[in-house]
Amino acid sequence: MSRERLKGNLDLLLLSVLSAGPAHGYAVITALRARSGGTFDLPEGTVYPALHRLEGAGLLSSSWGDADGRRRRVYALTGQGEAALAEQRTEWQRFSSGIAAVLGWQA
Amino acid sequence: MSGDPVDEYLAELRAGLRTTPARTAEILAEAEDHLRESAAVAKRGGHLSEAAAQRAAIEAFGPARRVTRAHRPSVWAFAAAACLRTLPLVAAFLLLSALAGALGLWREITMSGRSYGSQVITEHWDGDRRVTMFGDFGTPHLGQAVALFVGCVLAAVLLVAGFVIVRRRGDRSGHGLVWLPPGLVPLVATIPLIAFGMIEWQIPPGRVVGWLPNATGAYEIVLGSRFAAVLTGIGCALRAVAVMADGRVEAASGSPVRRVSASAYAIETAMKACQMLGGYLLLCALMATLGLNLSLGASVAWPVTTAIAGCVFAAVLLIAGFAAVRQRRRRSGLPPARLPRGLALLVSATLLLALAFAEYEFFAGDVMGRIHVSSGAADLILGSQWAAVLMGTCVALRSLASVVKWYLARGEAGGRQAAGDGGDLAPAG
Repeated sequence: MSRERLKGNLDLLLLSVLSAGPAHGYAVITALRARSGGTFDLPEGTVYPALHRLEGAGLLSSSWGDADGRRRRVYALTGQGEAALAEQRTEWQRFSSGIAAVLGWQA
Repeated sequence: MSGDPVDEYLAELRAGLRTTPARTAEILAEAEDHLRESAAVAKRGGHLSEAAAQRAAIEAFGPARRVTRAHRPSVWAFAAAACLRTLPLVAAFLLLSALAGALGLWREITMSGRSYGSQVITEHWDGDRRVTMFGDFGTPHLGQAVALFVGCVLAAVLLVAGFVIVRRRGDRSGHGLVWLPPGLVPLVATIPLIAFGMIEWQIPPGRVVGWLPNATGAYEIVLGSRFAAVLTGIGCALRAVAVMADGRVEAASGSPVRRVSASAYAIETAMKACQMLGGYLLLCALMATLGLNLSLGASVAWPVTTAIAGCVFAAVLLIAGFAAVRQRRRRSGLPPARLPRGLALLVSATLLLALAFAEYEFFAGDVMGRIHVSSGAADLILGSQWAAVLMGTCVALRSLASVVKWYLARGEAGGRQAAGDGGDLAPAG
């Protein structure tokens, strides 16, 4: 999948991964890769600005803790983030159904 | 360099990030956590050496340039931060104008008619020549002046409040204001200040600050604010160039400066003060020349040109002295003293304020020459006096802000030196 197309939907993907529970950046990125079967493989460092942007928009919250003697930032979905995820999911579903119908993949 | 690929990569990231110091620290901590964990996983899964695992983690993370580009703020955020950070400077200028005006008016009232000679009543253009009418104003109108001062203070308070509110909102959201390249804030501040000065100058009779035909004290403020705006604006521009040049030198050297003796600090401070005073005198001469061209046309009186020549000569002497001492120190191989932030500015401010005080108190406003021949010369005397006060106070405020910033930066965890964001006249956050 082209990186530009992936970037356009990155917010939805990140919110979706975090809907399973709070996670730190590395865990979010590996979950994203694993769930997509390796299809979504962005340079890992470029995912963090997206997480920060979502946090700035109030869709995520973050807290700092310690792990293996290092500082670790853990992200969690906020109430606002949950609402945004539900809305984006519906929108995506409608969009993908439309595309599938046009391509003749649906009866 | 530690030889640890992750450390080297983080150093590369740090050098490329254009974010505030606090934000940079967060980004680096997060990147380190990611890379170390990624390397540990790669080491376990692929039976790699520590270095090979770290390199694999770095490759997956992405090239440092690409990552830093992804963290770069938008152009709008950048422009908004630059404009916002100039607000405190403009507010300080308004407050200082009000303060200077209040002092001037108080002197006028209590000293009952201290005068600098004839005052301008009206100005108009006859063809391409400006015609100025002179007269004595009598008692200042206190009410008008008070309204002006209150307006100045109110505007300043509103500007500062706006700045504080926006910055607090940014801090609460965890994003704060974006990092700005050193020198950008004074450069941006230059534009409104010089524009203000030029408007004051061009709109007859130069009273943007207020229409005060009968208050001699207020008239001084008008003249003072006009010159002060232009001079402070030019000062900001010079400061911006100096800070940017300093930034390049520091980035190029990249090595810590050795400890130097107290005398080296004293010499360096004196040199910087000479440099600044020299610049100030040159600016005064420039302003006087401009003022005379506007007021007198081609017929420039001799005493005035002598005063201007004196200014230029004194400035050249000061700057030449500064250059000679610096050259000798360089040849002798002595290390340059890196002065504590704001020290040179503080000394310069003291000298400028002393100059203004001396002009006002001991020499009937004529340190630069006893000149009562033209309005242009009167402009020069009054302007230089108030310009010195305002410029000196601005510099003092800037130096205090620098010292506080330097002190806070020292206390930061990890000992990382805070980037000088704007090294600027504005109390840039």
